[in-house]
Amino acid sequence: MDQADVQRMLGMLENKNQNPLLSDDLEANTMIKVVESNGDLSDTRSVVQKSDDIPGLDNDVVWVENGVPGDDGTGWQHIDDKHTSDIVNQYDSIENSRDVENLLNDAIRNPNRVTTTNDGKAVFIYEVEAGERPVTVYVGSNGFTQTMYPQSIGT
Amino acid sequence: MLPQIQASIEGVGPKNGQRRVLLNIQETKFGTFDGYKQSEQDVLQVATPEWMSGMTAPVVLMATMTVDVTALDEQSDRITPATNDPQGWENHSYSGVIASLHDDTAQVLEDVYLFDGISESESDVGLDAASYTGVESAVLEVCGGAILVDLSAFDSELSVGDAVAITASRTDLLGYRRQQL
Repeated sequence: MDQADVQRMLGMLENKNQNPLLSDDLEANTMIKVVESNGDLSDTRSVVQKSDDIPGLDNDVVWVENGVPGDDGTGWQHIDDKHTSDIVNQYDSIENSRDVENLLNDAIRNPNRVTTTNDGKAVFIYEVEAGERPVTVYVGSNGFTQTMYPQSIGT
Repeated sequence: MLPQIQASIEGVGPKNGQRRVLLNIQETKFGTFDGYKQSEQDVLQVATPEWMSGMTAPVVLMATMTVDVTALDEQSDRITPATNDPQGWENHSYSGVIASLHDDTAQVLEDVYLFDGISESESDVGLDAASYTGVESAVLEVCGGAILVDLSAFDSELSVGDAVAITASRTDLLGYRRQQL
């Protein structure tokens, strides 16, 4: 963790009360875990400290980076570029990009169910609205959030 | 009968929470969304491994998410990729004839297989069709095969024999028919 990371960490902690995507109880130790897991704090939009052991995750921290847009991209820019339109059209309560990012945060914090993929990712399944297919959030084993999209998933 | 369409697999993208698979059907190239799906082994997996690139296979596709249906005066039989991003999975159009309508898509998704994570010599893994229980769909005959059209968010009436053009915001690759690989 270099000096620049320390400055970024201090900045995020100082402003966490103004950022709805960061919880009030976010601690320096959590941010250090992001860096130790090869996260890029300069690109990080939100961090969630999970209280339980999550299947598929090496530790208990999940974070969202800006990432890369496009079909083969990853992270927030990919979600916003390629899935926001479907998510807004799928759910009456989701109206814009900001709602989608809040939904992503909610799904990571309070999933209805967590499962795993055959290649070791954690999958957070979140029921957005009754009667609609859920959103599924895909998180690499190190805690990096890859993408989110609506998907029909068995119970 | 399982709706399927013969396709050449011309590209298999990186696996970043989903995989983009480039298909060629009767000289029309377009991208599809190979998202993680529930398998019968109780984990989620995509359908397409890298080793399938270059193969020809019977693929099961579903036009899904936001689906627009336009009635046609004359029958048409073509796939029209999105002009702005033909190799993506968004907004491709399919013109054909409605062959059947289903209240429960799970009933037509028997014997669909997922091959990601296994080698060519290993046994295959089945798609857990229960994920699609209660999902309304139509089977559209197009380009010598058939695809599924997700009607879960579609209010208008469709009938068997209707000639239609369908545009879907996402084209999902649900898996492959094993027996003909």
